[in-house]
Amino acid sequence: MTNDCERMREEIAGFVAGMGQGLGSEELRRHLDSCADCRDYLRALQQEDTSLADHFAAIDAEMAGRQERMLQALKRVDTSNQADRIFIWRGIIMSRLSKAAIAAAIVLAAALGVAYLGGHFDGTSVAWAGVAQKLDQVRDFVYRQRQINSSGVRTPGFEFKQEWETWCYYSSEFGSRWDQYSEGRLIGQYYTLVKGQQFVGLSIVSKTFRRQPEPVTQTTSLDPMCELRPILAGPYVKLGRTTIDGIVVEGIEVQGQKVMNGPLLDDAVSRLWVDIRTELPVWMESEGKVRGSDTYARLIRDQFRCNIGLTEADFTPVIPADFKQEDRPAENRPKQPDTVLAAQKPVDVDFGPLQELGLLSDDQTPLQPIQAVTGIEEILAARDKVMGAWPRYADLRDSLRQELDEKLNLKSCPVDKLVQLGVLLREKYWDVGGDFSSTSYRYGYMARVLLELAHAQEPNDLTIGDELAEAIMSIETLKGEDFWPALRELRAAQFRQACAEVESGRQPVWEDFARGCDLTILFYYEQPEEAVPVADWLISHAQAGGWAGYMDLLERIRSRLTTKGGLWYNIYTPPGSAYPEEFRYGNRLPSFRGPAKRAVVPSYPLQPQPAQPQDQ
Amino acid sequence: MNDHADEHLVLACRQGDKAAYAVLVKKHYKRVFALCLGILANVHDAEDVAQETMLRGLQNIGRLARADRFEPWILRIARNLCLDFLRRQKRAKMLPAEPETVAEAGTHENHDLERALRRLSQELRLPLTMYYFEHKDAGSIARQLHISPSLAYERLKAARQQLHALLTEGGSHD
Repeated sequence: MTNDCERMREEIAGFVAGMGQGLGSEELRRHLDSCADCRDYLRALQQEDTSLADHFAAIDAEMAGRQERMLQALKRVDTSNQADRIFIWRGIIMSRLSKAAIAAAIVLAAALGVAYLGGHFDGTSVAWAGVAQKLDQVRDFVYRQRQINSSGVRTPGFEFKQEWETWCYYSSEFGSRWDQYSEGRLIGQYYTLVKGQQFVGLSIVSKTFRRQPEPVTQTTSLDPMCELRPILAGPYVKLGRTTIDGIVVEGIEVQGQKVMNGPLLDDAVSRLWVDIRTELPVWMESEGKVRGSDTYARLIRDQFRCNIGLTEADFTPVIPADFKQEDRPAENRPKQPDTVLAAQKPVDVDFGPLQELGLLSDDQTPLQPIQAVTGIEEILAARDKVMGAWPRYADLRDSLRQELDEKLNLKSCPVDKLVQLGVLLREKYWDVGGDFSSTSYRYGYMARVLLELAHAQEPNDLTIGDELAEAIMSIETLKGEDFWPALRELRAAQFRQACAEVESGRQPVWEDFARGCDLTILFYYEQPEEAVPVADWLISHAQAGGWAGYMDLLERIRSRLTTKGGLWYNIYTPPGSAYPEEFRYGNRLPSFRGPAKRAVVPSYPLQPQPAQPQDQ
Repeated sequence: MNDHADEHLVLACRQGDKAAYAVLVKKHYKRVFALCLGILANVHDAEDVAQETMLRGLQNIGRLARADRFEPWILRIARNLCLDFLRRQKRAKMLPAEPETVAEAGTHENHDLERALRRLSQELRLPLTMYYFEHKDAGSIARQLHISPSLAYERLKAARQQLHALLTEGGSHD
């Protein structure tokens, strides 16, 4: 192809794309007359043009059906009244704000900016002692609360940032209401009501609600103005005057106190800014290190509107007809992270046996520094880059097996010894850096060799199978080439065995659930029809097995298997409240446990806490 | 461009008029779907996300600052949801690098073309989808994507060239 051809083909593509000078170009016409290749190119593009038009016309032909399904979905939402209530209510709130306040709020939300005017008092100052009295005159208010979690200074590769948003409404007469949003979507509403002294919680996502008695003292304690009083009680440092969103404010700062509803913070610093004109809050914030975690949290309250005349209707829960009441104990669901954190202590592993057998190597390279990693995608990308440079397991398996045979005499090594050493090697893999080490794979691969041997000797031992699955998952993420067939075969065999055992009278157990969830995902993309009976089995045995708390997720997965809607909502998705350091363990299956030293909340699904013994 | 018809409908929605939102859906659904299709390259996913977009629009219409700007607002929601969808897919790493497995259940016959479209970059696929599916010219595409008309044209042209290259590589093109 000549340079002329290259230039002319640009013009041909432009012509076919509908915007070029067309074949009216004399130069192009002359070229086409003399160049058979370019004539072929033009013909091919014109054929493709027809194909593209046909392709999109076929999609367009189905638009009426899509639109009808859309309207049906809309109708279902409408009949719930939920959405109506939400936006009608918001309309009321919005209408009470001045135009300027709305604009200011938008600017504030976008910028989170605080513009200092220049330090110290220069005129009117807030009488801080009188602010508490002002607060006593507030009957009702609304504000926004955001929680921003971030990594602070972290090991490279483990930085992150997350954000949640809640709109809080409070009335001294009626109670409180919190609307919780995730990524702009309403996910829950929580009412603590004076009338009836009750709590009502709605989960929009799972279409469930909960209603329980709540003493009125709990109701009043939710008054966030209560949280201001410890700040005002001092000792505090005056921060001077500034503007926030165009409002002239003055602020104070206190240290070492937790002043806002949220996670427990170590070394907390809190600030309160009030409007110098009204002496009412404009901005509150608290920041510090989340207790028991490396996470730094910043809580911000802003967009305060006081005495806006909220009515009982604003605190009357509207429960859509298709919402189910939660009648199962909350213990069936994962605990909140700090609860789990307290319950799960890291376990130090003794690698002495590996040392004695000469299985430890001094040849460990330091962890690779990973630059500019700020979120889950980047963490996973950095992790994949490191793991992508490892040799493949299939290429090393035989030589590692030979090496292990020389040290352990594998033929005479009892199964329990194989398992013990396999688990230890797997832990060593994590100990030297796991996914972020360029040399850790050696331990992971050796673990897999030993556990494969143990599994081959005891194929019906489900526990050994689980240890092998864990070893495979440790060194292969879901992106791994070897991952799918090996795990699918293993989990499928375990599932068949579990079905047979339960059929014969064995009680289904939590491990059956975790294995079944794995298998559902492993089948999903390539053989979704195979996943259907697995999901059905999990659903039909949920009550007996104790995983009924996951029924809504299972039903959603089951539905998606037939609609091919993608596993957007699935049991694999970690809970939103998981600590972001968990991202380093991402891309594994639900049963993945990770290293014994792991001291943060494990991935979905958690095993439910054991039931408390009944009083005799 | 401001749309006063939309403004009235949005205001009606805020007053609780359910039918008004249905009118907005009928008016804007195709454009939302087209955007999702252009980004996701999968008819089923596009329908899912387009539906989610419209429902989310309903839930959040009280937050729409300017009632006459419904279309750009709903398209922004759609774009964010699409990107979120792609992030979730990437996070789960359950799909191969090229999402081959999810679109096969459609009514489409030209698998080579579908595959090639999926392999186009989003930057090129989106204008191409708008051109062929919505029958928009480069000027309209440019306005919606906030790029210059010449850049829209360049992308359309590049999309056609790359598509041709993808269709002809390995002899898959007839």
